[in-house]
Amino acid sequence: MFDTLIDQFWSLTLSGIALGFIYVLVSLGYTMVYGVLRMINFANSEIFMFGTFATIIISRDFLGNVDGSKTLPLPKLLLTISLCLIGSMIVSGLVAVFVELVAYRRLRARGTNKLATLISAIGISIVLSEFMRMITHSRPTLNPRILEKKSLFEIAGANFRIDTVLTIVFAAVLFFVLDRFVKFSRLGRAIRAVSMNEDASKLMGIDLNRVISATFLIGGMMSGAAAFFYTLTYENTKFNVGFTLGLAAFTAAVIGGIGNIRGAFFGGLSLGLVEVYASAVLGTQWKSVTVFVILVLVLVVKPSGIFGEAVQQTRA
Amino acid sequence: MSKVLLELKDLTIKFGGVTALNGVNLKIHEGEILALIGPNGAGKTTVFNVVTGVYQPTSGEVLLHGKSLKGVKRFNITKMGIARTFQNIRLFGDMTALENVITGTDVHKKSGLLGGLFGLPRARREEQAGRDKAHQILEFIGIDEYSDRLARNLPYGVQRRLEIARALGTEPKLIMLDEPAAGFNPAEKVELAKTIKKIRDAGYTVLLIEHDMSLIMGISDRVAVLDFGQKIADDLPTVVQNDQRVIEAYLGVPSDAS
Repeated sequence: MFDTLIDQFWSLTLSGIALGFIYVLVSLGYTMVYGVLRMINFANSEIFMFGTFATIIISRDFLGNVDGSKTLPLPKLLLTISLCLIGSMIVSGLVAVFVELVAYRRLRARGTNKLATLISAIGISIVLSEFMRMITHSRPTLNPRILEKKSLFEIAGANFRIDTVLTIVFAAVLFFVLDRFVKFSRLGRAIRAVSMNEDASKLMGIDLNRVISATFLIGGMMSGAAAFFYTLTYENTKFNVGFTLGLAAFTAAVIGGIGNIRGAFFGGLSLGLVEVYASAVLGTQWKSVTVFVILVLVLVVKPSGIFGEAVQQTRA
Repeated sequence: MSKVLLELKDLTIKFGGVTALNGVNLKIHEGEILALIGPNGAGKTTVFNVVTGVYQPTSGEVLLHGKSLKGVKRFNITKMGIARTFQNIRLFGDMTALENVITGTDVHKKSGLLGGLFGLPRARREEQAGRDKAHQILEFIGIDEYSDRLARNLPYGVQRRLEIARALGTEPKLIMLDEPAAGFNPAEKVELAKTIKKIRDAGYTVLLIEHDMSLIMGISDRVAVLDFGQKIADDLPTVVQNDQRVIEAYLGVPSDAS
């Protein structure tokens, strides 16, 4: 039963880390919004989904990368990667800002309770995915290969493929930049101030609505980056691509302690690894089961996650 | 007399059937320490909340430098130069003392999202300037030694002083202190009195809510008294101290006089 795990341990670890980094980026969308609003943005999975479509449209339709069997010349390849990454981040970021404006802001202004906002979140989430279902007639959309998945080098049986390396390196850099930004910039400080004490932050001259928009923008951009790496690796998407992945990323956020940025990092990576190891031991059909069993266990045993505040202590 | 900084003009606030403030007129002059006193429920904190834009007046208005604050958003009131502390401490607990004050200084910075994300030169310069200024303020208040500690781990007295430092970070013209001596021992109160005078002498105007009479009489330039939402006295501390209506408000009307 454990043969596969032992035989391919390093190879599995590598793909677990790559998957984990995608979770890290998406869970940042959940965790940052939760930090300032104490609300779970269920539409984050759709914000991710829009990023995957943005990537395909930019590469396939704008840049004309239709034939995946041909290797792209290096300049075009670099252009495609950077435009798709930036484009996907912008699209997801803007969708996130839009979601906040349409579905949450008015409710917040009227001081409705969190339950109303939560239902509104589920509502806008369904609207976005159904919108995409209609456009795509429920069919999966293929992404013609951008990057030939060549192996760069091999260590201890782990095959460092170019897309895996790209995902890990870029995601790590993005996370590092975000972490520094939140810690050492004016807007980052404002985001933290709002998450700690909304009232006092207004008195510090912080424009709450602006900070909330910025939080959604940044969280959405991180999910958009994840969407690009996901599409680069898996080369297809569908209107409901965000559903399971979003729930897994949410689980990652809870493991790390929702509301905590570094918690999202550790939660995402550990979930990516556990998921890959569990698939090797139990079979891939148990993948999602493992994820949600972990979610339930964390909520029962240590609801505050590794680094975070207790979920039940939050303002209702 | 010096220029009027803040003026409450015929200010009335009603919450449902309750009148919290009833036609209050009050002028605060530049560079003075004005103490606002009165029994519990007299409307002192309500005055703070109206001035900072938490409540809108039912009638009357608040003027800063002669300009009405009607409809001005809370964060803009801070930008215009009014800062306050709370009766119950509301610091950013998971930030260091220094970061708390920097958050105050952020209000006048200009760099935006991109500058912060990519660490552009102007954003970096502003960041450094904010740090330096925050250290100066902590030094001024006398708690710079705590600058790197998380606010929630600080001793109570330091937290109270940090609230004042954070408010000063926003470069206010008027700083409003809501019971800054609450929970202080006599020695700490003496220290605080010195600090408040120092703040006034540095050019700030101070509006103070306090219950400790010796503190108020020792530092205030003027004392205004509220009772049931109405101003019943507004004069020099020594005059107010002997005002019959004030004594009645605090001690109740003596039985032989009724």
